Amino acid sequence: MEKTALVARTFPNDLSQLAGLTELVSEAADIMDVHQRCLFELTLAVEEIFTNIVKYAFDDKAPHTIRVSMEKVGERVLVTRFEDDGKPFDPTRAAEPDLNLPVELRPVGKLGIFLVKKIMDSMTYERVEGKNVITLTKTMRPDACVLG
Amino acid sequence: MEVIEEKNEKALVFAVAGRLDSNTSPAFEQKIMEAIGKGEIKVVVDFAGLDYIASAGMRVVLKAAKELKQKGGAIVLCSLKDYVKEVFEIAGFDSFLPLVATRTDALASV
Repeated sequence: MEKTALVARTFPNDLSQLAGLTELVSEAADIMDVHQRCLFELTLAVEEIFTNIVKYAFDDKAPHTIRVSMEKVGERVLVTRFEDDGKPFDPTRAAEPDLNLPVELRPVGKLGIFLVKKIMDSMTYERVEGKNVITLTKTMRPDACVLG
Repeated sequence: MEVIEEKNEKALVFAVAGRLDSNTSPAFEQKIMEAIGKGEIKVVVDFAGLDYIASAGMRVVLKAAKELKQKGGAIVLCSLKDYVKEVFEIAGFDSFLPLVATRTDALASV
């Protein structure tokens, strides 16, 4: 299927970058004329992955960057790619939270990746030339949205 | 993100507006945990003005719910937009966290 690059930006590894990241997602969504319902879950998934990279990929205090690029495949499929030079970490293999536990036993955390898996059509991970590459794929149609 | 605290005779109400993401949630966490630390055991979180929530924001709610459970207190969320409510449901929070329609309902049930 035909692939069209939509947007790409490189961000410092800092949570203060979320505003810029949200703008990037909105730009891609505008180009694809994404329904409001899909925009919320797309933003959520992209922010969760970015947050996870910022929090867990880097052990040192040196500045790093995270590249986020989005492309359209065919008419309605949006592919978001994250690249960072942090330590190897495969979020697709993260343990899932047990949703049946009572509140006192529910661990505080692990939710972000779980939500991404629920919301997106797919999430893949590769280690390429010393970089983590995470790819999210989602069909941008209201009837394919999980939320809203 | 904006948090307004209102002391009601039945509970302490936090009206949270804007975005609860990984960048803004620590400020909300500090406020709610501080109030619980000072002895508040009935808490209502009014999300009428909340446009966006990420797992970091849900984590704050979970942390507060755990603390309140231990102290014999309660937390109720109200006025959630549909998609915000659905994120809580997907995460299974609705099994221990009442998600009600209005602040009046929340104050009546907390």
